[in-house]
Amino acid sequence: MEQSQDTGNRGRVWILGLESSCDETAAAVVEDGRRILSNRISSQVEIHARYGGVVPEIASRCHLELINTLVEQALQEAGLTLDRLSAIAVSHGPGLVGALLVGVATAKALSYAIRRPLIAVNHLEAHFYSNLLSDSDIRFPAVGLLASGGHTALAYIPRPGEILQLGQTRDDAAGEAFDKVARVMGLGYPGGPEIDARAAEGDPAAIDFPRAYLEEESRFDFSFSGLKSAVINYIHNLRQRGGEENLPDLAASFQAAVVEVLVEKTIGAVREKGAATVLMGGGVVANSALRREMRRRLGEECPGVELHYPPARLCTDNAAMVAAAAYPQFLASNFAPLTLNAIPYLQLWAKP
Amino acid sequence: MLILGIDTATRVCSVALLRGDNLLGELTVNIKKTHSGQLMPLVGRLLELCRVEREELEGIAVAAGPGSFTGIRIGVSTARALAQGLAIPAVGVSTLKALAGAVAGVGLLICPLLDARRGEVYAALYRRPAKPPYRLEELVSPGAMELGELLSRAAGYREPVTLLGEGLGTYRREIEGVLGERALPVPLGLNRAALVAWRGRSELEGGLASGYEELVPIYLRRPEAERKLREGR
Ligand SMILES: [Zn+2]
Repeated sequence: MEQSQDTGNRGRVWILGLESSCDETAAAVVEDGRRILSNRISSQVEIHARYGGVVPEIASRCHLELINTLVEQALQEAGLTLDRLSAIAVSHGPGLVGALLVGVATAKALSYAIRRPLIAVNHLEAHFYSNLLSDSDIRFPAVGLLASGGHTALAYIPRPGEILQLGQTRDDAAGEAFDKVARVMGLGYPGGPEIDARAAEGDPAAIDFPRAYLEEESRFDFSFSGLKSAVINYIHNLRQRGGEENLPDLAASFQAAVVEVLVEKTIGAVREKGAATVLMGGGVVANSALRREMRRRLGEECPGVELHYPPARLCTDNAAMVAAAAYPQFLASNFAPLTLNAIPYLQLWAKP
Repeated sequence: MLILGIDTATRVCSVALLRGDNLLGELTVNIKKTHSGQLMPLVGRLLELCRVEREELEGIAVAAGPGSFTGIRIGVSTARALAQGLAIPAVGVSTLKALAGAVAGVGLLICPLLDARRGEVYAALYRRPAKPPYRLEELVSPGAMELGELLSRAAGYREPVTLLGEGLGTYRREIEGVLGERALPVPLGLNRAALVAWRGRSELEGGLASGYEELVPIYLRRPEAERKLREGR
């Protein structure tokens, strides 16, 4: 298929990123993989809240109605027009297939219309690139910890544009465990910020919840379903005996169990790989205990190893990270064909 | 006006180029494969075959539904982004009306129908009057309905019914059971982008098409979760 790829040497690289994998529709323009010129996000959190979780069909419908307008706004804010872009990048997985398809169809048609290359970005990998947008000097190799509502994974990132598998969750993602436990505790959705706030006044050692470290060959994998069940059982037993749970202690103890496992495994990976940096990404990274514990224990056990996590607005899904993740691919002329499809179960280390 | 037609609302993935009332070309694929992977390569190939540069396109017409939710979103998203990228107008066309456009005769009862799953069809019943301007008259408005209900309304006219659309293959036996010899299936009466481009033509040429922002799917059905929430109340 003929597709003109006018990537000529004109100095600056301006990539338009598109994101529609879950319940955030986003478009952004990033310069040279680092500098955010615009970063438009429209969240559907409130629409889905009344359903207690993301409804794929509703998410897909919202994406379609918003995405082109967000592109327009992102360009305007960046002071650019479509014809000045160097490439179009899109998250093509993982995520909700119907939602992803809106972004993928939009990116392909735009790329064709303006004769600019199309770049397929792995949404999970893109989360690590949020760090490159806020910290300019990041040393590699790095270990990446991704913790969000849909995914929990550890990766080895030898250099930008390359990513290798270390481990992932076998059942619930960390953020999912937060949401489910918050629901049983009678807190709102999403559960992460609610639990974080309650935990601030609680004793993390009050209740001894289980930590799943798994067998040696799966030492970098995660499992949170046992912990989730333990918390739910604890609450049910307490209520059956007519007792009432101490919300702050419960929140703090649950959170401490999640955080300990995430930190312990990350540190194990840093040691084994001799990494210079830890890059964190995903919505759960907004959790204050995770940031605090990771910093404390890295400082004590791996001096010299740097920790990076994005500012709150770049922790959740956004399109700037998609454009940033596309940059190394742009430099390598790693472009996607117009047959590009959404891949709902794309793995973190899968290369498009 | 050079119009690109797109139809991905059913199992058919189809693109067409229409210049005035002349069909330059059409590529139609009716196999079980994802429209997402096929659509843009088909557009690219069609333009190549017709020796048309993408910048020459002047308008886009897309089957906006009813049909498969995912299918119409692929078509409409593509149409919106092409319109945005090329800075040209785009219109959404009813899948059912586009189908009805395949039947040229006057005075006939025309019934386009698509399988809507869950025991329902997306359908409508039209008649093209015998007097100018021959605009389709709507006897049963487009919607998701039970096949039995549609057939009994159609049978009530005691006239032959011209039927077309993907639902025909699925429900042939039920249709013949009710309409008997009055059921007249249109040969090869499937969705095609040429019909969509044709249907969108007057709106585009008349300068009545709005920007891509106004181009939204015609679902004719609420999301399942929304319906359950309403019924639960
Ligand atoms: Zn994400």
